[in-house]
Amino acid sequence: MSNKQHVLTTYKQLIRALVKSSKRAKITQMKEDHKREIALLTYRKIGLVRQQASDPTSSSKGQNVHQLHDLTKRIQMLKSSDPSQRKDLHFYDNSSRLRQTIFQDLPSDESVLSKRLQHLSDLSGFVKNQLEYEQLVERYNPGLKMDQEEKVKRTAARVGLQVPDL
Amino acid sequence: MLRIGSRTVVHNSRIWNARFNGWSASKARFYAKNAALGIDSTVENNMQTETNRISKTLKKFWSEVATEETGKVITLTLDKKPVRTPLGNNLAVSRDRRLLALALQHEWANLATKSIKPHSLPITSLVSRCIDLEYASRPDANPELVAKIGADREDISHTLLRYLDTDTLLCLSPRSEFEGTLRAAQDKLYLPLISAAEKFLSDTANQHVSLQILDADLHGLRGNAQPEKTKAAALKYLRSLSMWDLAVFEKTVLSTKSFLCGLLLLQNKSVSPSSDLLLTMEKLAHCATLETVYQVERWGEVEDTHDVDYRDIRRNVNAAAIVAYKE
Amino acid sequence: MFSSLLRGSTIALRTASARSALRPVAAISRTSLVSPLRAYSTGLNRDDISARVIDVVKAFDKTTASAQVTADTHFAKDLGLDSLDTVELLVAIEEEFDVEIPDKVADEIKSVAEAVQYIASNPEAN
Repeated sequence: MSNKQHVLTTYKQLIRALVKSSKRAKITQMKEDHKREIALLTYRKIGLVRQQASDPTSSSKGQNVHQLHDLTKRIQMLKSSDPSQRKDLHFYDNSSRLRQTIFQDLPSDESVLSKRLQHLSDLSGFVKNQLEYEQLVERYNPGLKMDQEEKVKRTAARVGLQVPDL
Repeated sequence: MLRIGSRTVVHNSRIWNARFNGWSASKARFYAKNAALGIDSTVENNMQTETNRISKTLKKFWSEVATEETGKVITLTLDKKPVRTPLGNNLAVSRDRRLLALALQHEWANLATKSIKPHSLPITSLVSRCIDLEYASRPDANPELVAKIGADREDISHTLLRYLDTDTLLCLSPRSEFEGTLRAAQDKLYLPLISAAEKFLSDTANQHVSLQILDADLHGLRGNAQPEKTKAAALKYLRSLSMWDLAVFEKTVLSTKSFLCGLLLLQNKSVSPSSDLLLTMEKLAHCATLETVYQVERWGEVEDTHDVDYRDIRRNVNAAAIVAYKE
Repeated sequence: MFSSLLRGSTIALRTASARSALRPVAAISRTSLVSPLRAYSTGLNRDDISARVIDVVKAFDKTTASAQVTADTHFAKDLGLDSLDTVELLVAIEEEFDVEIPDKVADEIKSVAEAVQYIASNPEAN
């Protein structure tokens, strides 16, 4: 295999590993952001509804209805959107710096080059195995992923109780 | 050592007092005395650093991860503030470890937010150990601190030396097992590495030393002990390592249960590795788990054990290799 | 292994549908048999593949924003991508369809059309 080919193959492995690992984290992060935003919008919506109920003759009624409609639409949109479908998740977002780091003064000496490429493989090996490891641990210990609220809910459910919705 | 999440989260009044008094971790290092029972007041777990904060709260508290180059070092920053190791040093690597800085950044930027697990930051954990060991090995280091984080060079070396007696690469299985296939594979993989390591240690010691192999066919079940000369050579080798490399060596030996794997890993990442010690990290991990490979093949894979271990050793070996590498 | 099983079942279904077509009630039973076939059969719809590949190309920030991406777009000539960019783009296409393109094949993929062609020929793609 020519040197250039070798460099490209090694680079591809690294990109593959990095994309897979950051995709997972980003989807989780985005889902959480969505959840938070939905909660916020819902809270605002409830506020509006209450305001309307307490003062049905208000002059700003038309405006309120409009706002309410707007909020509902945004909540719907957030609920139906699936971050895992985003195409930009298929790309590694820090690739220009990665390239600069790897290819800046690429050594011409055969043994130095092969050591650097080996180093890149070590990094992709790490990223890949770290991801697989985390996924396995999560699969075998589902409790790890739950937050406190979820744990309390499930603990209550075990003895037939239900945590009140607040 | 960075023990993310490995301790129970305890409320420590010292931290609060310190905060109200405007106490800053970068200026003062305090040592716990007469701590109340059950309260973790060890210095390495209570200094106000990002790594400790994350180990106590297990929550993400930043929005931007970046690296910053100043002078000869690249520092990892969260919201423009440098991340600090458990002992309060900046989490920074030298410029000749650029990709390592990138790996650190990737690690922090890609944490799934909700909760951070003890195993989420292996590179950070190892680099922190490297930095804190370097810090604690300075002549003016506080001896109490050195003892607390287990940074005494001789102690570490002697602990690690014990792995050479029962080294994974020096224990050969009986030929009656697995129709002799395991033993054949061990002979093929281990023996060249063993003689290369003997040569390397002999060069280090300036005299011929040999490694005592524990052959199940010859010795049956018994302990193994290396000759004094070999031990001396191995110690001499460990003394020649930088504190940074010693931390990497420690990590590798603890993951592979093999002194020789530590030596092989560092040699492969050294400036001019000798050709008979060359091997990829995948092969190193394979050597360290050869017996398991045959057991899984025969008896099947045990879920939540073999599959997890397979990944675990590979992530650890690769992490050690990335931290060891230097341009 | 699983996918080969599925492929096996596709063939079985196909013969079933062919046979039922001979019967007088064919008009009804055919539609009910044909639709599940789609989900299992090797072919993702070619137009869908093309549209998805184009979407991925468009999402690549190294693609010049003004560039029109069509089924005929060539990565290097039309988009100005170098070999490293192409590597990143191909990895993205791999991710989109959940496949791994062998290195030998990947070297030959230089345009949207060639990528679509490969994905369409890969039974694992989904």
